[in-house]
Amino acid sequence: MLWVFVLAACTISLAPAYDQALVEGLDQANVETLTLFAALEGGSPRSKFGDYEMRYAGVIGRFEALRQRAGQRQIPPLAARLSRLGPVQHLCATATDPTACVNTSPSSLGEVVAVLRQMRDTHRLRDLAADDVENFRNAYSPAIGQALTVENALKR
Amino acid sequence: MDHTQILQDMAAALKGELGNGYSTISNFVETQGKLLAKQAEGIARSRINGSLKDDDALYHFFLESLKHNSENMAKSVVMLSALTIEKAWNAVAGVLWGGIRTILSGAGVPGNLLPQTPPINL
Repeated sequence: MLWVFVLAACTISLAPAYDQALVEGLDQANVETLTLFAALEGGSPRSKFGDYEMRYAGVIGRFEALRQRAGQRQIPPLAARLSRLGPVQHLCATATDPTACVNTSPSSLGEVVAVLRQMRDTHRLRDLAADDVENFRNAYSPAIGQALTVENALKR
Repeated sequence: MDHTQILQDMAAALKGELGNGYSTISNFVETQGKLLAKQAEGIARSRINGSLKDDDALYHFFLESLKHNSENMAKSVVMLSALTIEKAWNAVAGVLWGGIRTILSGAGVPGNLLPQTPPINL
């Protein structure tokens, strides 16, 4: 009988708390980035890089700040222990990121920042062809999709 | 409230949370699968007859990006699964705690000793 009482008295937390400011920031930065992709859709010559430099800096800075915010939040102790379980240990408990599977957004947003930085650097060095822009957008979409899905799922 | 009713409510809560969790994960995997396939197709097309034909560095960057996106997708699935387990457990514990509160209140235990929700969070 006692175990039933103990079971009933315990809730668990296996992921960080929902962060509304983070979700709103992601939505806003996503709109800005998709607008940038749309402006560059047909490609852009190197000579026009200056027209876009501040917009690149704006979205990179915004996503970097959001990545930091997501990385600094508190991970529930039970969630941290979950990462060390046998079946997911190989994927989830790396030396550099021991909470990789219970706070995934910093990694997804790190990929977003890497893609946007590479796009800016490519544009600075040479003409940006239409298929370059498409490839950068194709690399961006899964990463932002992961962050948006996971962060919205934390609302519980 | 009898134990049969509590068990029925627990089963309904569990079914609801597991169903929602499965739906979220299933949609996520399907959408991500399409996006990753599109990413791979674009890289292949540009490498054969596009801007990546003569740009090895950018080609390798995109391949690495595809790998990172695939790994992050797998990690996100683990996280969404953990969230589903959390919600299912908490739903069951909530129903069970509600049943226990009802029984104990009926037996004369003062209401202020029995919080609305399970009092311990692990």
